[in-house]
Amino acid sequence: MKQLRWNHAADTNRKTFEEVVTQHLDPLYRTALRLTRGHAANAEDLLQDCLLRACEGYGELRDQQAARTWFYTILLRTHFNRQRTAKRHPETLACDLTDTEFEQALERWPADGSGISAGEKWPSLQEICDAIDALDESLRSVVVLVDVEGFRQREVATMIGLPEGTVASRLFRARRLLRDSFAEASAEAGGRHRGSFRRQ
Amino acid sequence: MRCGTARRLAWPDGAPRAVDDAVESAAEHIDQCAACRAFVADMRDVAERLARSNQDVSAPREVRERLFTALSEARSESGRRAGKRAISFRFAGAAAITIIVLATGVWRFSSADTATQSEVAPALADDHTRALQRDGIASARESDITLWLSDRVGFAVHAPSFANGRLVGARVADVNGQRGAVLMYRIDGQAVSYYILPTPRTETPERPLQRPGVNTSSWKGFHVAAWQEPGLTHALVGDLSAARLVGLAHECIAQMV
Repeated sequence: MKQLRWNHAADTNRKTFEEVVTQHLDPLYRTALRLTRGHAANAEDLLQDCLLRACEGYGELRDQQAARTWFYTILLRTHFNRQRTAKRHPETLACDLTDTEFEQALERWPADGSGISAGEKWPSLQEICDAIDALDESLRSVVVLVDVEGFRQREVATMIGLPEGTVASRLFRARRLLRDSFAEASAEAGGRHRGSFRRQ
Repeated sequence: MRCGTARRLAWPDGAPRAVDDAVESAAEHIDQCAACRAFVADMRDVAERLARSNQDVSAPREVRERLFTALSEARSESGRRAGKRAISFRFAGAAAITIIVLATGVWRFSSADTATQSEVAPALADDHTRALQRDGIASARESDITLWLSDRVGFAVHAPSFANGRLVGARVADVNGQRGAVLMYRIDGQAVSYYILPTPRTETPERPLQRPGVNTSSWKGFHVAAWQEPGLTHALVGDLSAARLVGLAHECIAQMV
């Protein structure tokens, strides 16, 4: 069990902290699940670490309106630290795109009708979760925060310490892979009754 | 403009960016390019599918209990240690205060004449005002625009729709010291700005059941059609004829009522 540097002089905040945690617990748990590729025990462990850190630093949170972003920032940084794949300020990866490369990639977005047509079935929740879990770490965290949890790209860029353009290009690549997954799964479901969704 | 550039500039989900010629050109390109419209639609489709996964997933009760128990235990342990640390914190606090007092004295001795600060202040204020005026969002979605403005102005903004016109963005404006909202439209192929500015309520008697009258004027070649409601002044400004602007003003008023 970790020990907190809790400020007992300000212990009147305690109930408020628990109220705030209660308010944000479900979306944080949901995000922790996706960050840990659906592994419930790891998600709980990650969330516990996050909440202990949040509790320790709660006195520094001046604006209650910012609590949601604050919790997510802690969750992400805790996750990155645990993964040991990111340092305090995550580095831009070699596969991240410059503006020119991003534009070239955007132009290659298929306009050949190979995407999802209006009549196709929507993927199930499990299929969506599986497809997100199959993404690389760098893409998964961005798409979960922007598309699933509804954060703005600018907020996510601040949370993970990357330029907004890099977040945009990662989001684009994640959506492209997910779109292909949805189309593939839909096609498989049309051929067989239900196909495997996970990309290999 | 190339499709890739237009798509990057009009990239959905981006933070509000200054509405400049390039952003406007990108929006126009997307309007006219079927492939780019398909791209935007595809993006929204994927985003909607992902947003659907944001439902019905909650932390199981036993997980909640374990988490709150962990928090409680960590605090208890912290409490036992807090007393031991209190004395050393007092010494550290006294040392920190001494350092701050000494550092402040050195800074006051070496600081330049404060007149320099007062000379630069107006320039800073002007620059800030210009920055405010450039601050904008490029979007054709009313929900994006009203949400963006709601963080920046102290009143609710409704973006009216016009026949033969489309919303292209919004910005904030500082007019005579009042911070207002500006919705930007392309109507009949012309740029039209719709200003909404706060007005002291004492200057506008409340007549809730009457439709406000629209006044027109011209300034530097632009026509202005303005009207008031309690607490707010509205104005449409653009290159269109005064009569056309008055017609648009009445469309606005009808949608407000």
